[in-house]
Amino acid sequence: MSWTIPKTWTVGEPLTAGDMNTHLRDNLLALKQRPSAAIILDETSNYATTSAYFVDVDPAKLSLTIETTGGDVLVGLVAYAYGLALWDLTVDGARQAGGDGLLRGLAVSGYHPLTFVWMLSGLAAGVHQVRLQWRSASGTAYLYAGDGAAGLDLHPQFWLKEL
Amino acid sequence: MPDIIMDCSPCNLERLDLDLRTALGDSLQGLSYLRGRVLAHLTDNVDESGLKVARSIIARHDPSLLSPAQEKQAALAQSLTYWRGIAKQQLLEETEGMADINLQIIRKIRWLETEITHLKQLLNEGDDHDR
Repeated sequence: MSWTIPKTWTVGEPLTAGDMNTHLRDNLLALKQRPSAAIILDETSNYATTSAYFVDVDPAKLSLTIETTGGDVLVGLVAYAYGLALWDLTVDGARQAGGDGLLRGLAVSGYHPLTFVWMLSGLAAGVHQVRLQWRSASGTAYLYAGDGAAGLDLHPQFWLKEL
Repeated sequence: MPDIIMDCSPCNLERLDLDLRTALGDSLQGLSYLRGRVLAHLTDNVDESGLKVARSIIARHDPSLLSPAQEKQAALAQSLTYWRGIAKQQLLEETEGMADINLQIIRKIRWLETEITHLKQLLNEGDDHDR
């Protein structure tokens, strides 16, 4: 349901069903049903990278598409990782944080929770694709994706929500 | 240059990375692993013969072969287990006949000393060298 800029009512103007449906019902529905996308992974193997340059973690699954109405969009990740990786997001192919990314792993030999909320501002209304990217800062970095290993069968969630 | 994508399951990414870097040098930007497939990220200067070499190395990959760094880690882990056994034996001998409370304290301190010494050694092998 798309948002319509509410009309300005004038004194004595009749309330028509069309106006009420467009400016009240539809706008309330638009406010209630914000565009969103989310995925929780349950893979047979975890992700790993040794790449020294930012690459998609999984261009098929950790790539969410959202049709926005022009508002800010929150991007979230809850995951568990190992190693010294640097993390970033791309929106329609353009990296968002730039430089060394938006987040850095704990250590070469360290397990750690990996979680962030990132706000995308200034996105034009329309369809956008958001992807999670990473690169290794040293050695091999891992992202757990529910491979079934005892004690590390952890399932990351990646999500988008327009405000 | 598009990535080379090949099945590789199971895969020892660290060893495969080493083998590909040895063959391709800086033309390899790194590897990624997802859903049983390995992606080799290559630069534009890789020619057809380089691609062929890379595919062949991935196809022949043996995940049971460790990289030198992995071998070192495994050896250190073995050494830690060995020294724990030695330390335990020494403690039993040194503290024979002591009162229970003293014995427990001494054992705990000695255990901590041994653990810290060997864990420090283990951690120093996995330095955070950024690139």
